[in-house]
Amino acid sequence: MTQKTLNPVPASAATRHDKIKFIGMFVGSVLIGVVLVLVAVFNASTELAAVQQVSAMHDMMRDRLAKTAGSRQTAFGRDKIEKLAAGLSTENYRVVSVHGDQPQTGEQVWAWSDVRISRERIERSRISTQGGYFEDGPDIYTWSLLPLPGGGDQLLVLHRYQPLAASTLFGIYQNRLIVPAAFAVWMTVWVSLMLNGLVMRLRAQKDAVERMAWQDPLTGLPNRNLLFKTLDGLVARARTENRSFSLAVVDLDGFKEVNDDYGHDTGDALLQQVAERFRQAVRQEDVVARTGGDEFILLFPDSGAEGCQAVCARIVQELGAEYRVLGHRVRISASMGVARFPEDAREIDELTRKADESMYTAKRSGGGVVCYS
Amino acid sequence: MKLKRNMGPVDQVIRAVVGVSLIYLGPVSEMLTSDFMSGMLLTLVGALALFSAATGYCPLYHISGFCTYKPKDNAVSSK
Repeated sequence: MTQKTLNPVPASAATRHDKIKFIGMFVGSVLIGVVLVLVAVFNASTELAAVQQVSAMHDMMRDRLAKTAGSRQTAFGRDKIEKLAAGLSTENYRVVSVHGDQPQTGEQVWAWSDVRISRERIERSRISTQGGYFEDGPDIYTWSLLPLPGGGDQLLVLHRYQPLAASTLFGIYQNRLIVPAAFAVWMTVWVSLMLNGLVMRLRAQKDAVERMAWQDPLTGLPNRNLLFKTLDGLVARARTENRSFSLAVVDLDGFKEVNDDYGHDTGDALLQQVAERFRQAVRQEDVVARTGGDEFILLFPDSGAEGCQAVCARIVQELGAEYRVLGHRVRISASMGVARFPEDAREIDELTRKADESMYTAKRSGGGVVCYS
Repeated sequence: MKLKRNMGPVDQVIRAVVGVSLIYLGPVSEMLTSDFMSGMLLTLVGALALFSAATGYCPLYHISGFCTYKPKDNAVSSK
């Protein structure tokens, strides 16, 4: 039989830590980050290309306008605009004359294939004083507005083209982005392993502190703190569910003599053997705690008086058998006092006092016996 | 400061090959990339791999508690 685990935070649960999950979480998050950055880089590249296109188109058209107009600043008629447009690739470019110097918000619409381009759409997509761009389906339209020599109308130049092909983009990514992205993932693995080690160390320290708070370091049994915490819970449950339980106080007879005759090392080793015999003698649901030098308290939850008596008799018998401790043959006995909740007492203090009194009665009678309140 | 060995000979050889390959494919031949920053990163990782191959010590193994070094039975350990 083994003793019930009493630690409120079991060591196995506290130290359980899924390293793979921990590192996977970090690497997964950085991979998502890398993908987002790559998409953002793609979008930014597309926009940068459009901005460059607008600038180049504006400069080109300004030079062409200057050449077509000649040295005289006369009105720029339709014939000159057609001459200007004829010099461009008509498939990808469109040149139109726009009335007035000021931007107009009216429904001034130009059609190019099945795409309708309004004055409003043009103005909404402006990115600089030179012009702007907008997307329509798979195509990108850049545009630039230039004042005509001689004043009056403006010249709207539109350029239609398709963004970079995925294969081109992949080539750029491969050359510029894959290594930094792989480096970021590699660094993340490092950092996650470092944090994992830190978390493991902190958990181990937490477990050690909890053990110190709740466990007797010599025997590994629950200490007084954990016993009374458990007892509080047991009393509360007994009251609400109308149950009963037993509490036993155990004092070792002859332990002081062992300490005096053979030294404290032997006494400590004897206590460890006593704790082991307790563990073997009690049932799964019983609780054994070391509360003092050679004093122990046992709790017998959910058991009738007969079951408790049988366990107590077994404990007295087991503890009374001979020990071999550090080369010495030692024999001690145990005096036990038992009280029942709520039959003998309805408060914890009263319950322990009654069990204590019974234990002293057992001791006065010569030891090695169990006395009941 | 003496670094405590945590890497076996096979591991060291693999790291040496990886280290030299990264430096060769990156900044030396530019087969992998012609980008300057990428080349520098490959050099850094390659140099770290060569360093760990030369010393037999990997900080990553140390942190994660991993070890591929198996000392010989008749080896005398010194503190």
